[in-house]
Amino acid sequence: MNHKASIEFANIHKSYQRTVVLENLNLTVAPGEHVVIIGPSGSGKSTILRLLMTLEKPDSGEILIEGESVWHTTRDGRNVDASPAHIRRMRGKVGMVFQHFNLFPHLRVLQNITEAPIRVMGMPRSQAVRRATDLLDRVGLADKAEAWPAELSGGQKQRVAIARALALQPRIMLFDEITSALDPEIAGQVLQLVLDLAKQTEMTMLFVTHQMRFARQIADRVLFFDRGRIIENGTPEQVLDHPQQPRTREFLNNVFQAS
Amino acid sequence: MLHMLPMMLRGALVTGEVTAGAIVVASVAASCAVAMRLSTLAALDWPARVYIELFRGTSALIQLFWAFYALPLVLPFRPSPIITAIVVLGLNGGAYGAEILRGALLSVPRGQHDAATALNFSATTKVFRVVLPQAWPLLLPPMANLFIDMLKNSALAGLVQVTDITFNAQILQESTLRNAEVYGLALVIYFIMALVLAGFMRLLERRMKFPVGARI
Ligand SMILES: Nc1ncnc2c1ncn2[C@@H]1O[C@H](COP(=O)(O)OP(=O)(O)OP(=O)(O)O)[C@@H](O)[C@H]1O
Ligand SMILES: [Mg+2]
Repeated sequence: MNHKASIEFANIHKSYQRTVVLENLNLTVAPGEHVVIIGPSGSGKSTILRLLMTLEKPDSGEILIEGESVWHTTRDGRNVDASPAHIRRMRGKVGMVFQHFNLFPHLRVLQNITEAPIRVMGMPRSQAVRRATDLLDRVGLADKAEAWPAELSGGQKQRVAIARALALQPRIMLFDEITSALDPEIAGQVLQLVLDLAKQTEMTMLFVTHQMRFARQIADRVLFFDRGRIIENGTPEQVLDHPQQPRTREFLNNVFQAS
Repeated sequence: MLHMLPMMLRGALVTGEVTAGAIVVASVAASCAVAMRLSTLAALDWPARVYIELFRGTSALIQLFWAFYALPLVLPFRPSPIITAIVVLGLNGGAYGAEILRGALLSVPRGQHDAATALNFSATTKVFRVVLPQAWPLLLPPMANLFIDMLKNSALAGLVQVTDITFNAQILQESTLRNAEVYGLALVIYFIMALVLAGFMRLLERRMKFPVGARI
């Protein structure tokens, strides 16, 4: 298994109506690797994560997860569209945490976490509750199990969202600007939680973030993205400290001036 | 006035039947129409659109007259007046209900759909555990309005031989010529029935436990 890439994008094209977002994108992520994607607004960072989460479908190209195509299978030696069951199985390998949490407002905190294990994995309720309770404990919210999401602060909501995504034990986790809607202090606490989590698991992780300190701490590799292309790709030191491209330097200057 | 009461109450019972039946028909019709409208297949979308626009764009009374006087000419059988009224008023209400339901479903934010997909929910789980529970509180107040409208519109059934409050009131008026009492009583009975219906809908609303309106 380990010789296979965890994630592979091959010649991915994606446009919305007339805006071309990704053009001929190629990207490989190794198992267990932590990749941080940075880049200006509108450059297509979220689109990459949404494609991996199957929230969007590529116009052309292949997305492979653990060596297997998400959208296609071979039948009688021909490449055909994959069945919904196949897509769901592939989707099950990936989990995602969103910028705006997207908790289910009509379910209590514990139910937000148990819903997927019960309904998707068919886990017995008692076991799902035990797992959810453990996860809540891990994100420091053991006492909030019976609260409504509306009763939580932003930071607490994002912790619940992280626990909810972890409950399905995905092999790949995607984090799309998960602290952009939080004040700096709370953001720091949530990022610390993610750093701890990253140390404890072998999940492959992709992050979109504007927090350069966090990027430095968590990343094995940093990608700088501009207008749908990877224009810089290397270790945090290479990309953040010694960027080769003028466009990267300009972006980093702006980010550091802002913070 | 007391001697009018039994006949008016019998009418009220029929009005109740017509309204309840029409509400059931409307709910089913609205659900089907919305399922068709939200499907990605144009072949399903456009018949639903035609249905909605046709029933919204024409008068309920004329629809009823047409179904009562013209439709039996092409049907192999003649449906009873009450069935005709229930189906026509139900389809009429369903056309409005469909737009209410569609609006409520579409107002569930995209992030909720994203989260449901990211958690690998099946389409059914997504609809019944994520979308509908959140659309429900938005749906109830306009639906209560629609159902009360349908109760009042059911008076039209009296014009096609259904012996409802309106029909019986007219009979009584013709035989007693006591306009004030007969129509006054009819008003009171309709009002009480609307009150009961509104109360029932409010009860459904109160069953919503989660903090409605909180956007997560
Ligand atoms: N659903 C959509 N419909 C139309 N255009 C879209 C849609 N989603 C994204 N886009 C466009 O695609 C481009 C890339 O969007 P994307 O969200 O991937 O950018 P991003 O790098 O994540 O930006 P940000 O830092 O602001 O989140 C943008 O120009 C955006 O306007
Ligand atoms: Mg984004």
